[in-house]
Amino acid sequence: MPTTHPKALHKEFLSKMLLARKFEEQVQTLFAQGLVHGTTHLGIGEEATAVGTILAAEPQDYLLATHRGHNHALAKGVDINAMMAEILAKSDGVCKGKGGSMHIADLDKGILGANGILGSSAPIACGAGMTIRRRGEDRIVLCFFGDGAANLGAVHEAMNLAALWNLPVLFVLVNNTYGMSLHISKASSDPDLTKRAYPFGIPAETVDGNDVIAVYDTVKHARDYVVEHGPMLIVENTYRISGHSKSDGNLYRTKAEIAEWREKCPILRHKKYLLDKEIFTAEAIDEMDKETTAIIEAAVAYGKASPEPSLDTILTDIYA
Amino acid sequence: MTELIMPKAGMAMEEGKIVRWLKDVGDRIEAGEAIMEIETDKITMETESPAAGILLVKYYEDGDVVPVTVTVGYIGERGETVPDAPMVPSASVGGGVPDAPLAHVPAQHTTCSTQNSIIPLATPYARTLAAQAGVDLGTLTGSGHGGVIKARDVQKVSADAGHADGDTTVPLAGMRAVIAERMTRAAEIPAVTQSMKVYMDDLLALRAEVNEGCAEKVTINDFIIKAAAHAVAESDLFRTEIDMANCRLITRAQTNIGVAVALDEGLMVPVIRDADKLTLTELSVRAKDLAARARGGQLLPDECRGSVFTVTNPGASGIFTFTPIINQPNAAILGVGSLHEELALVGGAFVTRKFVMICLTYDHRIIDGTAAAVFQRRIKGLLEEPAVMS
Amino acid sequence: MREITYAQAVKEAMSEEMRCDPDVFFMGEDIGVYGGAFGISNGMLAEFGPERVRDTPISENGFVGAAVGAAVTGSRPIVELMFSDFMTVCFDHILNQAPKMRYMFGGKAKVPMVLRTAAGGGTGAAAQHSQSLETIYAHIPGLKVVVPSTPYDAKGLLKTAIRDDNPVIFLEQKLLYRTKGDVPEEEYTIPFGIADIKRPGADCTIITYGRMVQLSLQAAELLAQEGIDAEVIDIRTLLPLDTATLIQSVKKTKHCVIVHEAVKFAGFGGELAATIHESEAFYYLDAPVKRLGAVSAPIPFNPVLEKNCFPTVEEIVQAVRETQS
Repeated sequence: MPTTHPKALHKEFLSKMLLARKFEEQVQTLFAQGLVHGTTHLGIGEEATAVGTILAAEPQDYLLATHRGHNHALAKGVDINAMMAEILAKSDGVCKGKGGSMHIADLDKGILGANGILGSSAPIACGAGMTIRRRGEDRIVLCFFGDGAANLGAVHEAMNLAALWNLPVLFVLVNNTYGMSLHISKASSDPDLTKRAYPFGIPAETVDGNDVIAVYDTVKHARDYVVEHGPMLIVENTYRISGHSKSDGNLYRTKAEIAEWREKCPILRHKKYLLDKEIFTAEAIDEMDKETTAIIEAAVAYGKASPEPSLDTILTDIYA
Repeated sequence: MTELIMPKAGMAMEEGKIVRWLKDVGDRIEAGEAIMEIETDKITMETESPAAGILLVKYYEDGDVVPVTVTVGYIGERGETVPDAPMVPSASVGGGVPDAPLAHVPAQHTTCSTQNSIIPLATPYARTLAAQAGVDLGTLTGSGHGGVIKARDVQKVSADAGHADGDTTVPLAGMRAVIAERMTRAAEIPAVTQSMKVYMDDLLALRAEVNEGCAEKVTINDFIIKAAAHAVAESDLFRTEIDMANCRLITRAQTNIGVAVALDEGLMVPVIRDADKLTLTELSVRAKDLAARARGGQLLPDECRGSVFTVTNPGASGIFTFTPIINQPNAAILGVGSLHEELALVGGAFVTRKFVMICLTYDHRIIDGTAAAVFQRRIKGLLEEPAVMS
Repeated sequence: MREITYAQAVKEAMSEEMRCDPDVFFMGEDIGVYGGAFGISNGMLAEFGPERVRDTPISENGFVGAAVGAAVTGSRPIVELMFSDFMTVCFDHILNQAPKMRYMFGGKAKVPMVLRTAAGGGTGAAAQHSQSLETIYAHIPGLKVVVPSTPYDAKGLLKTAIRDDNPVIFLEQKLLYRTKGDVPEEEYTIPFGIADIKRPGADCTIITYGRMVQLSLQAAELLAQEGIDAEVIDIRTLLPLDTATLIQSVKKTKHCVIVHEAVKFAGFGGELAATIHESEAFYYLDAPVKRLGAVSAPIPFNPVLEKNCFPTVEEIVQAVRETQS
């Protein structure tokens, strides 16, 4: 189904995906340099799911991200400097250095947090939906979770509640093929995860998660449905090129498999589309690339320059 | 190998100074032999070796100050290895034995004996009260479960010290408070008391003569005051005050003699000014007047000030000797015992002789023993040949 | 003053707050037409309608998580969990989500929710419906933990809980629901972190909370006949804890007995005892601090066995006596 999208939107698809990719590549470098402590979960290869979904939603929509949530936060517009400072555990971080990579949140932007506990975002999304319904607000909740979390009871309970109470929640299942090391075929009795919605009477659609335009179109349509009728499930199939976390030795998959998916990279794919359709020239795309690199470099400089949080902040922000 | 520690030599002792080691490393020493000399805030003492053997190591040198119970060295046999550094004390309170087991709070419903404990079992509140009242918990028997010393045990002891049934309490005030305060201060003076026998037969004979036909009788004490005034006038030392704050000695020109007068409520010391310049009779009149007015509460404040020496005579109370306390800021005080008789062999015949003991207490900061003896003999001489004075 | 039951006091607090704040809503299992397993919410559905008095499916992890999401987006949910034991199936939201969001998110989030539930034994409900798990919640920074012992406290503390901008665990005492007490008709609230001296005394401080407050007061009356004047302090909130009142009392009485219904081993009494020991009150203790709590066993079904799990009035009397011996 060919659709025409404005040039500006195409530019945003590409620039947001580039931003996410380059951000995570930079985090990888900083980690190797010992500048990022703890751990970090990268979503390299999954950019189209975050960017396509979030751009299709409205700015006022709530978002619950996963632990692999840099893409979501950047697509939703969290300040990149504050993001980088947070990854570096600095006081100017979006969470003052108290949350880190796994807990990026920005309530001003409607981000109710990346969550370190898989599946927990689903019931929380229902609660946000309850507030929206109670107040009659024009917004929905985007609830991201993965193929791993799809097996959790919390997700099923949440789908039941959302359907039961007709809550404006769009469940976005990013199927990146692996739950840490476990392939979906070894984790789910039926790998067709759209079926998870059926018992609750929730409609579901599957989309190629590496095709940003397809993701965008699907979610655009789904959002309208959610506003009108209630919850829906979108399964976005993709592949995690990066390891699960920084300690992943990739023992559970082959190099050939990873290489194959590198070929299917959503950014390469969208660049090719833009060139093929002559929407942007190679030079223009190159220019976007460079601009993004400059933004990331500035963010790293900002993050490095940001002071460490003062010790007295250990005991602040515990109670309201 | 036996450790040698800085012993805790007093309840309040927290550290001690090694004045000097009496043995060197390598020396053989017997158990109980003096090994080092230590100094606390109170005393200097020798520490005995806890074991026989070779002094293997000294962790501290002469002059070092060491917390109590800290290991200062080891005694053992040649070849034994010693730690590089002194051990940290395992018990910082109590008996000063570092490895002594601390008493444990008994397990639920079990009794516990305090007999083997270095630290008596006491509740925190009992310890708080004991510390405040200066009560040694080691002297108490606990009435609590398992023999634990409770607050009531401490309260009972500190109350027993001052109270029994029928006791009364009055506030310390007035003359008694002044006396208490002055006596407390007097305890700071390094004082020496020495007694000397004075034969009184000649003096008694003279007194009888003097008093013959007189309405106002001269007393023995008047003679003693007179003799004291005489001797004090002759000796600068016995008119000298010490001013420690300003590091100086002040010798007074006037021979003003204080005379202790016992009252029901305490003691007063009116002063006879220029006592050395008065005749025996004048002195006697003056002394009687002051004593009477002291008993009547009619003394002027100035009449109790400015003495350089004091005479105290408890009279016919049967006292033989005593140790009078210096009336500050005097340098000395002369106490007089009661008149006694003795049988003596004089020229092959038994005679009875009357005597008193004169007890001189002097401030050793000002007066040395020899000078004091000379002074005391001078008084004795005057009293034994009283004609010289009159 | 009028007397109402503990259960009525809870309902009044919720109803009053729902009347004056449209952001407050109430959800839980069978709270609607059924009126709640303990009859707390009888009549509330009629007054507030099904949106604000929302029956939930048996899906505790789902609806407690939903309460977290509702709270973080500006609602003020009150959740009723039928039995406090059911909290264990939604620990993720109670321990990982609600109390940590504000901190993890750098102070931007607020999670104003109240989780009400019925705790404690003595009803023959056996091992999975009788526990007192408050210690677990008191261990989690970011939560507040309330255990009211009287109708007056239940109402005043619940109103404070609903107005609080933080997640509050409100542990009601099953056996107290039918007890009556004076509750004024006028508006009042009770601040958190203020212990209540339920009975002043000079000889021994009994620190307690929840159902054991009543037992401690009965013990104090028996002790008074022996000439022992016990002070009974109801801490009311475990987190925040009013340490000052406890310390001051023990300094006065020199003795301390701690009583709770929860298992004694590793129970909150350990924290209370340590609070005394770490303060200047230690130097005033004239006997070891004593703790009374449930035995280390799952709550048995047999009524005689069950009764013997929890501290009794006689045991409290005996413990206080021992501090005086």
